[in-house]
Amino acid sequence: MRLTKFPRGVSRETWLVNCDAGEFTIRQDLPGGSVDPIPLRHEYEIYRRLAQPGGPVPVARPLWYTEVGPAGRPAYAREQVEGDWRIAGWPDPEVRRRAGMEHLRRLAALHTCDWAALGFGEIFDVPASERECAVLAVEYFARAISEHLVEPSPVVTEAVAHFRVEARRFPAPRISLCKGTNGLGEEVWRGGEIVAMSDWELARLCDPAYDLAQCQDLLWDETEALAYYNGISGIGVTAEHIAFYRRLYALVMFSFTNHATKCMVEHHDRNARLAWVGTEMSHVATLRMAFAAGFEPQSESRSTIAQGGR
Amino acid sequence: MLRPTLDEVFANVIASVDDIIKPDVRDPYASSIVLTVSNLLRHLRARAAHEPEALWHDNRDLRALLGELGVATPAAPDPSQYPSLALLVEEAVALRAVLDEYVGAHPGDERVRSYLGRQLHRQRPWMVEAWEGPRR
Repeated sequence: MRLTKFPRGVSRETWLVNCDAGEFTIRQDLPGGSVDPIPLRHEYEIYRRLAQPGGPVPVARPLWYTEVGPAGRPAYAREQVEGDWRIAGWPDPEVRRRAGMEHLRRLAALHTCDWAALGFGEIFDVPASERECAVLAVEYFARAISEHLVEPSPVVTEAVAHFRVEARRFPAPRISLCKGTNGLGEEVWRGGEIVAMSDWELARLCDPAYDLAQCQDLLWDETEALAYYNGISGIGVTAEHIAFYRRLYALVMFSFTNHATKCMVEHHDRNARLAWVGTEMSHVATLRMAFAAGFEPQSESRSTIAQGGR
Repeated sequence: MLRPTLDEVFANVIASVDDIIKPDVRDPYASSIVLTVSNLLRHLRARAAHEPEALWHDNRDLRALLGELGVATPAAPDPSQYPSLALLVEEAVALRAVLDEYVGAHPGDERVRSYLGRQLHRQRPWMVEAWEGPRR
C-alpha cells in the first residue's frame, strides 16, 4: 500500500491511498480540528447526497465515515477520480474560455437541481425565502466567526454590521444549492472536462451569485461569462449580486482563517501552514472586510497571495 | 553580546532555508511546507522589528479614542513597568474589548472606522510587506 499526502490542502489533510483494492482518497481533520468551521461529517454528508443516482454534478463516490480514523481523528474515504486539478493548456485564452464554459455548465446544473429532493434541506440552513439568502449567509458566517474568536475584533463587528444592512439589498433570483469554492484548483479535470467537483466545505443553500463570485480565474470575461451562465441556467444573476458576494467573501475567508488561529493557539496544532493562514491570510481577509465596509481605502486583492487559497 | 542582532540572525536563517534547504527537499508536501516556513520567517523578522512599537502607538491611539467616545477605559499601565510585548498585548486586548462593545452598540461611527484603518495600516510591515513568492 502506498500513502501520499496531497500537498496543496490547507483546511484538512488529504491522503491518496494506492493499494490492491484500488485508489482512494482519505480526508481527515488536522490534529487540532479543521480550518473550516464545520465538522468533517458535514463534508461527507454533502458528498453522500451528491453521489446519489441522478446527482446533478460528478463527484467522487464517498465510501465510509468514521469518528475515529487511522490517526484517531474523524476521517472519511472516497473513491479517487482519475484527473488533475490543473487544466492542460492553461492559461491559453481559448483553453481558459472553454474550461470556463464547462465549469459554468456544471454550476448551472448544480444551481437548478432539486436540492430538497436530494436531502440538502436536512443538513443546511434553509433560507425562508429568496430575500433571506444573503441575510442568512451573513448571519451564518458571523456566527462561525464569533463562536471561535480568540481575541476581540472591532473590525469584524463593524464589518458584520455593515454587511447586515447591505445584505437586505440583494434578494436572490432563486434558492440554489451552491458549492462555495470553485474554479481553478478546486475541481478534477480530464480531457478538458470536469470529472469530479471537489472542495465542498463552503457549500450552502444560497444565491447562485455566491458561487459565481468565487470562480478563481475561470470567468474568462465577466460580461460574456455571466451572459452564458444566465442563458444555460435560465437564472438571472446580476453583476451587482456577484460583486456583493465578492465583498462578503471577506467574511467567509475570515471565518476559516480565524478558525485556523483557534486550531493553532487553543488546540496546539503545530503545522506552519496554520500560522500562515492565521497571519497573512487573516490579515488579507480583514483588509477586505475593511474595504468592503468602507473604512480601508485600499483594496487588498487575494490574488496578491501567490498560490493562495484554502 | 549585541551582534549579531535578532534581525541579522533572521537574515541568515532565511537565506539558509531559501538557498540550502529549499532546493534540496524532494518530498512534495515537505517542499510546500518549506515555502510556508520561509515566508513565516520573513514575517517574524519584520514583526520582531516593528510590532512592539506599533502596538505601543496603537494602544495610545485607541485609549485616546475611547476617551473621545466617552467610554470608560481599562486602567493605564504602570509607567514604571517596562512595556514588554506581553504587557502591550494584554493592554491591547483589554482596550479592543471595550471598543468592540462600543462598536456593537454604535456601528458606523466614523471616528472608530478611522482608527480601525490606522490599526490595519500599522500592521503592514509584517502582515503585508514581509511576504513574497509562493506561500505553499
